Amino acid sequence: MSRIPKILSLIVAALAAAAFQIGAIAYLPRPFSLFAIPVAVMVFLAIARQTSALFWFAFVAGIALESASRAPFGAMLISLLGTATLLEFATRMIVTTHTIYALLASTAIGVAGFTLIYGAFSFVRDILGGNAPDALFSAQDFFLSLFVNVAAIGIIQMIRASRRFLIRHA
Amino acid sequence: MTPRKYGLLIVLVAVIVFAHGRGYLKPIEWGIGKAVGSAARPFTAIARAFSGARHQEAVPEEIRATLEAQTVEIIRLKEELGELELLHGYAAQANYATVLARIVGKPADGSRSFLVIDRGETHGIRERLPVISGEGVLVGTIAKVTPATAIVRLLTHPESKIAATTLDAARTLGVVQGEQGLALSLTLVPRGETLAPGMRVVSSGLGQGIPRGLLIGTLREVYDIPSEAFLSASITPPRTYDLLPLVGVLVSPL
Repeated sequence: MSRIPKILSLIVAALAAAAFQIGAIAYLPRPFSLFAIPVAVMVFLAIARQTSALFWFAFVAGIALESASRAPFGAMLISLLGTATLLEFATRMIVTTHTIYALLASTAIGVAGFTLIYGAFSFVRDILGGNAPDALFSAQDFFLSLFVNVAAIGIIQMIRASRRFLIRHA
Repeated sequence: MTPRKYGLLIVLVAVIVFAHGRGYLKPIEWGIGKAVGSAARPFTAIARAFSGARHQEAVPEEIRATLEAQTVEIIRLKEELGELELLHGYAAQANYATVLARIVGKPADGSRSFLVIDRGETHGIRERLPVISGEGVLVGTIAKVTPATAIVRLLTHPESKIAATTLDAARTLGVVQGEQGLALSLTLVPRGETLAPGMRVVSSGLGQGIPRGLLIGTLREVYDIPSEAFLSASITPPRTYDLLPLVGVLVSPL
C-alpha cells in the first residue's frame, strides 16, 4: 500500500476506534467497559512491528478521544503516545517473540502504561481541582482493566488463529 | 523510532497543547468532535436499545432477523421524539434558553457517571450549567466543554452536590449527593425536619446556576441514625440516565 492511502486508512481506523469506544464499549456493564479498543489495536500494530502506523494511530486516536476525555486537553494524546513508545520499546527489547505470551505480555505493558499515565493526569486534575483523588477505586480499576484487556486480546487472538474461522477451499 | 523522531514528536505535542491553550485549534477540534460524535451516535443508539431490550420479552426467532434493524431505528426515533416533545414543553414554560443535545456516548476512560453530548462551546455551553431531561428532570451539570462536545457530570457522581428541597409544605432543605456513581441520597437534613418515603425532591435554587424546581427524584428510604447530626435518605431518580437519547442544557434565563 502506498503511503497516503495507508495514512488515510489509519486515520479512519483511529476515528472509528474512538467512536466505537465512546459509543459502544463505554456502555457495556463493568468491568467490560474497561476494554480499551485503541490500546488493543496499538498492541497488534506493535507486535506486527508497524512502528510508524503505531504512532500515527496513537496520534489520531489521542486527538479524537480528547473530545470525550475528562482530563485536561493533551492528557489522552500524551497517554496514547506514551503507550505507543512503551509498546515500541517493549516489542523491540523485552517481548521480542511472536507467541501468544508475547502478545499478552505486550497487552499488559500497554494497558498498565496507559492506565498509569492517564491516571497520573487524573490525579493532578483532582489535586488542582481541590477534590480528593479516588486512589482506592483507581487501584481497583487498574487491575480490572489489566485483566479485562489481557483476556479480551487473548480471546481475539484465539479467534484470529483458529482455523475453524477460515474459509476452506476445495 | 530514532531519537530525532521522538524529539519531533515531543515538539509536535507541545505545539498542539500550546495551540489549544491559545484557541488556535478550535476549528479542527470542532471538526474532529463532530466527526467522532456523529460516528459514535449509531453505536450509542444500538447500545441503548440493547440495554432497554434486556427487560423485554424476546421476539419470535423467525421474524427477529427481519425486524432487528428497523426495531433499533424505530426505538431510537420514538425515544428522541418523545424526549424532544417533553423538552420543548419544559423549555417553553420555564423561561430558560435551552440548548438541545444528543447523547453520543460516555468518556473513553470508562467513567460511569458521565455522558458525552454533541453540543459544545460553539453552541453557548459552559461549565457548571444544569442539564435536564424531559419535563425538567435534573440529570447533572456540565463538567467539561470542547468546541463541538461537552461532558455531563451526572448527579450520581460522588463530586456532584446539589442544593435541594422537598416538594411539600415543610420545604425541608438538604443536599443531594451522588453515591459511588450508582445512586443518589439527600444529606445534611437537620434533625427535627420531616422526611418520609415518597416525597419528591427538587432543586432549591440556592445552588450556583441551578434554577429552583427541577425534579431530582423521590425519597425511597429515610435514615434516622441517633449518633449522627443529620438525617439522610436515599433517592430514586425518575429516569435511568444511561438510557436518555436527548438532554437540554439550561443556558440562561430568558
